[in-house]
Amino acid sequence: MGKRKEYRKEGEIEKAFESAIKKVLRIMIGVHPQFGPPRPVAAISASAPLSVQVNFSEGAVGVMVLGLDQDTAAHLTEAFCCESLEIGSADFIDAISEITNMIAGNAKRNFPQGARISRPRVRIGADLEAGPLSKRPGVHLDCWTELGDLAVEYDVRFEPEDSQEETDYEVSTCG
Amino acid sequence: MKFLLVDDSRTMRNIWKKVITSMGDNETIDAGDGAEGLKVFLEQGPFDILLVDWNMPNMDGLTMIKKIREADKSTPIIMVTTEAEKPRIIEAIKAGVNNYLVKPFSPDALLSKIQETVKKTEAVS
Repeated sequence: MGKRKEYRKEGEIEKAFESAIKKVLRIMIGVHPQFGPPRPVAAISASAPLSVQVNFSEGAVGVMVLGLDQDTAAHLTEAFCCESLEIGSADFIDAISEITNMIAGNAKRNFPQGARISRPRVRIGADLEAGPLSKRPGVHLDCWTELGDLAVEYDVRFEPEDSQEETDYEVSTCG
Repeated sequence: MKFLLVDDSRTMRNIWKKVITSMGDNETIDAGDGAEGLKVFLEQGPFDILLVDWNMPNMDGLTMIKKIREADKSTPIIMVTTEAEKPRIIEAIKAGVNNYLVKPFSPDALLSKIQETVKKTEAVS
């Protein structure tokens, strides 16, 4: 097996996600996000009124969940598509999925060995999930924009030894 | 010009269309995955330029491009994707991609890529 690049420097993963969110929201939607300090969470969950999950595999193992309220989601997708989309419609799901896909895709470009990302899974309605998406601690990143607030939670691991045993990621099947 | 747009996101295809329409009187045909894209390419071609996403259900963009290149070496293809790691870009170029744009992109960036690709193609032919 080839030598794996160390990726444990304080804040590097946080920076990867923050930079990805900033880039996607600024370039594709025209908003300028501000971030709160990253804080640890006991587990990653889909507890926001609307959440979009992307799983990472190959090179990095983990999960990212974008959480936001429905108003913010409506404003963001409207700015992204230049038209108002009904929450829950196929076009809305497509738009919010694509935004999340770009955030995850951009974050992973800064991972030491890249990664594959799953198709986004959209959940509308808080607490739809019976259990957490990851049983391991993760990071919560608050983000404020002109169109509303959102948060990203993630748990990403790079070393092979902790990539399987402790992981309990739900398999994403819809996009 | 006649464009084939292949992305599983309708939102993304619409964004591409807006940029292409802003360039002038162009025709666009959509496909929602690589398998559909390949079928449309073979049945409704020739196309002047293809815009192709990488990660799609049924058949990914790279597989689609490899299959197209078995029969057609010249139609310019721009890959528009979140895949930004260098080995992936090299893989795409080896498969026959002429130009590469990483999402997210501004409308101007897409416009420039299309114009650059067209110019390169005209210079070769």
